Amino acid sequence: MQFQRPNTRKEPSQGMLAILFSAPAVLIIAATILAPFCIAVFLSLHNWNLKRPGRERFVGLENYIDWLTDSDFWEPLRTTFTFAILAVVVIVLLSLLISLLLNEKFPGRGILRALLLVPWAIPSVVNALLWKWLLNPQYGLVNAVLFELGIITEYQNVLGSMPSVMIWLVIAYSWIHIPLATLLLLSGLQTIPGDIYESAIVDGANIWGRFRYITLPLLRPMLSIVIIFEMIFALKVFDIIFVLTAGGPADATNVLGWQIYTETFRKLDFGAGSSIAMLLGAITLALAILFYAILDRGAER
Amino acid sequence: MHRSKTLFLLLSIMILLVGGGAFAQDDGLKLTGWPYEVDVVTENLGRFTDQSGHDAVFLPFPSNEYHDKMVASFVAGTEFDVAYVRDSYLAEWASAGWILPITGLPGADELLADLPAGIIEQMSYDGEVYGLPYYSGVQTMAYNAAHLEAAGIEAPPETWSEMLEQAQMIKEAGVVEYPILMQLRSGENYLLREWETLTASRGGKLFDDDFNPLFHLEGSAAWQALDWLTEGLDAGVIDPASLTDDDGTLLMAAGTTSFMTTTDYTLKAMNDPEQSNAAGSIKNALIPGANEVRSGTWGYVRLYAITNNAEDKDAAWQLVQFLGGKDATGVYFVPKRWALEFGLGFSPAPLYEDEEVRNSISGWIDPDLLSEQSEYAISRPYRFVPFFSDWEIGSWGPLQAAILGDADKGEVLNDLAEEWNELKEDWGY
Repeated sequence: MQFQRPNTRKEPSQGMLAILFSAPAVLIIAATILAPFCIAVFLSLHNWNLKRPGRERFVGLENYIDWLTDSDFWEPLRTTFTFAILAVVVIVLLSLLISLLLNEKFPGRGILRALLLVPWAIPSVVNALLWKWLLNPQYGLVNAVLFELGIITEYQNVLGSMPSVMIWLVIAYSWIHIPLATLLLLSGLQTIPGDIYESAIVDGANIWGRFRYITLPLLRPMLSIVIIFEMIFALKVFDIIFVLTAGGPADATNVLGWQIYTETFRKLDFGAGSSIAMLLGAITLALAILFYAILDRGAER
Repeated sequence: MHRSKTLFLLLSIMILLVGGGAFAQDDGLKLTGWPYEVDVVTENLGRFTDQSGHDAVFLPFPSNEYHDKMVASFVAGTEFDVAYVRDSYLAEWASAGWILPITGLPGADELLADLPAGIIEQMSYDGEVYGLPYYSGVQTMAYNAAHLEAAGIEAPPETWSEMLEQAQMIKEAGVVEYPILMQLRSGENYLLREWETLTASRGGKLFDDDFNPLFHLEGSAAWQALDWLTEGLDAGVIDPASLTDDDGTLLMAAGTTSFMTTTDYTLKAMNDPEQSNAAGSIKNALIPGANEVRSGTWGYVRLYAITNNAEDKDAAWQLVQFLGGKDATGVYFVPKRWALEFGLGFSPAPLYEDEEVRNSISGWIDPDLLSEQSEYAISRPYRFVPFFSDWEIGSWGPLQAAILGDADKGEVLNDLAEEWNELKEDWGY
């Protein structure tokens, strides 16, 4: 008779396994998010200009105070909010309309839903380049169409003055952001049970009544997510500005994202650039929390 | 056992990746720049390898991101050996120690002796020369002779006010909607350079030789230049796309623009039938003047420099000499090739005497007019202070606002002068 050797190896505990399995993700997050964030905080508290090596020094909150007392912060902040509010309103309203349409049953709905994803699949810089061609004042398709329709009598440089530059930036930006918002809202609409609508119809509710008292309240959680997400995206807009206007004309589209880029990578002042980036991060976070609280309170009611 | 095998496999992959990275680091000299005619650069590097025995590769960055990508590379310690440098940020890179002076290196004096003093000055910072020229030239005026003829105009304008009058005639004749394109976009290659041209051609400068601002003085040439731009935009003869467009050469080649100031070599592409609808009609003229003043302009130079990160600095210097100077056979092979095949401006004196080069250029530009234009070039020493780019970046928005009439010119110019003086004091100049 043979005796089996007892297994002396100790099985790892549940807690240890959890740590082991989550370790790679934690490491990646630490390396790609936490470390750069900490470095940015560190830089924001220093005078750190790459053009002046050897003169780096700790300045505490001086960079932040400088920005908060400088119109070079408040003007771009105002432009950022103007852009973000316009963009979020356009995106949310159009996404809501499209998602309501795509939630209905009609022939070709599947194809339309698939087509909806096309703009979303285009990289944002490519989208910006595409709009740059479309809006070109000499040979752009938008000018050609408006001219042929008799809406304009001569080709316009819509990116050359306010308010047209802001309007077209919002349109170009919204075009690529609407698909994701629509998709999220559509998924929210599909969770609303059909029998609620049937009961409402029996009770004599019209289409507006059904939207106002059923769709909107039940869609509110998803709507909150879309508004918060889109507001965050819009506040940190950069790529479309980089390609289409470079912050111009006359700083009319100089948003905070562009200001950060200018300070950091053009002026090479990493201290100033990091501190303004921190301020933008704080503003975005505060707004996200505020929106969430407002929308969550509304949902509870 | 199974676990050991997996671990071994993972380790092997890691070693291969790390090893591969290490080997990739060791593939010879690395040249970086903007991606102009990459195949030609690569061919030139092949010749360098044949002559010197050093392998060399070209790893370019997009032109409009070149400055930013290079700064990131310098900071990260990426090992480029030789880099293209625009004179506009030479001071910035030299003062940060990212590029190295060539003064005193073997053979440097002989090559520098072939270059005009103005070019050497533009490649210098703090008394040291930082490279050899890739190409150089002057800002000149291009015009579409067919447009002028169609509007009944016999000769290109000699003054800026004459240009506005001719543009109005071209517009009224229905030839093109916006005859003048000025490069007024935000960016290193646009607004400030155009303002400098307009100012120099009125006999002025933005700063004096002690780096004191002149542009804000009422009635200064710089002030008049902004007034002229506003007048042209208001009259609808300067293309509003001037504020946003980033490649006027294309519009000139498309035949939709009658006048623009441009770098000399772009006329080759404008007159190339394969690239231009207006080929054959684009001529160079002296930049217009004002009153007694004639055709002031400025020169530019792009250079090859050795980076501080270069591992083998002797080999890097050999590459710089090959690219910007003579090859192993003792001829200016690369500069001559750029001039013959692509019309890039050159600096070494022997090339001016080269019959082949002279014949080639005259096919697309009037070399005598170009030569006369370069006589009017002013120096711009203020561009070589390390804080110039900081000031320039901050000037684009306010200047555009002043040109568009969205802000008071006097206030804008005074604010810009004040900002300059603060930077000057801060940097100890």
